[in-house]
Amino acid sequence: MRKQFILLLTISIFFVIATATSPDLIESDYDCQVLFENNTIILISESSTDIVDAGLLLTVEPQSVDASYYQLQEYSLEGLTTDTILVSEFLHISDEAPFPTGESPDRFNMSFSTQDTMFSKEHIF
Amino acid sequence: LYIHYRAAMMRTYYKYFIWYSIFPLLGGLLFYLCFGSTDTKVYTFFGNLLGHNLLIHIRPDFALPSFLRFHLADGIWAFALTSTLFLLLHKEINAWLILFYAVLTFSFYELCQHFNWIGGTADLIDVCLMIAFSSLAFYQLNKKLLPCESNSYSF
Repeated sequence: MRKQFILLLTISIFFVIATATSPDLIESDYDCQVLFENNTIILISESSTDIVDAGLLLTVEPQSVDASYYQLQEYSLEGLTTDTILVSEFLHISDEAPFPTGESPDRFNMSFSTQDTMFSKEHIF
Repeated sequence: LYIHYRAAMMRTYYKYFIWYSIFPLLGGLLFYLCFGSTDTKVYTFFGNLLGHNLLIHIRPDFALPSFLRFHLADGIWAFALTSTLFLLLHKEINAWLILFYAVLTFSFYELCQHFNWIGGTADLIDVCLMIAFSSLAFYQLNKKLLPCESNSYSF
């Protein structure tokens, strides 16, 4: 009886710890988080399966005074293979990128989406 | 002399408990606080306890490689779980059964994630890495702890 109790108690404690380190499903409806640190977009998730083939969408803030300067108001990067993306790579990845090299809006929205979830966050440089 | 050896064994247990259970657990928690999502209960708890500004300051401004960020903490957790079960129960339960219980626990955990009963995303790589870390803990403790005990028993 004692050993079953110890076994169950230990497993329960570890289970609670593991659950506490996972994103909460009740309070939020997504598994991924977009952070901007050191000029790098970092997608933080509990699992790499959240990142594979996910999409990242960048939208210039409509109320931003310089939004009209940019050719495209929306730019998306589909089929991500990594969770760490340099902003310069994302913004200036091709000629069709919304911002010319060296030019970025002060404020834009970044959205991260998987098949099931969607998360948006405004970033101010 | 028996009491002396028993005290020595207890010290050995405590030593292994600190290095193989407590230390990996604390390391794993620190890992989550530094590199994990800020949308977790543990981040909220330590944020309220220590202050969110402090947590923001301890988060490094570099990104670890994806493999480490996604899977290392799970491996450390499995290591600590197997070690704790082994240290608490290896005299009462067959050691291989302890490894089986540990594997069963984190397989069940990933299954719960798969069915969205708990937060997070089920991942096969997680399970593989947890089995590897769990086996490492099992091998290390078998190798280091059991010879100490057999010496004390023979005495």
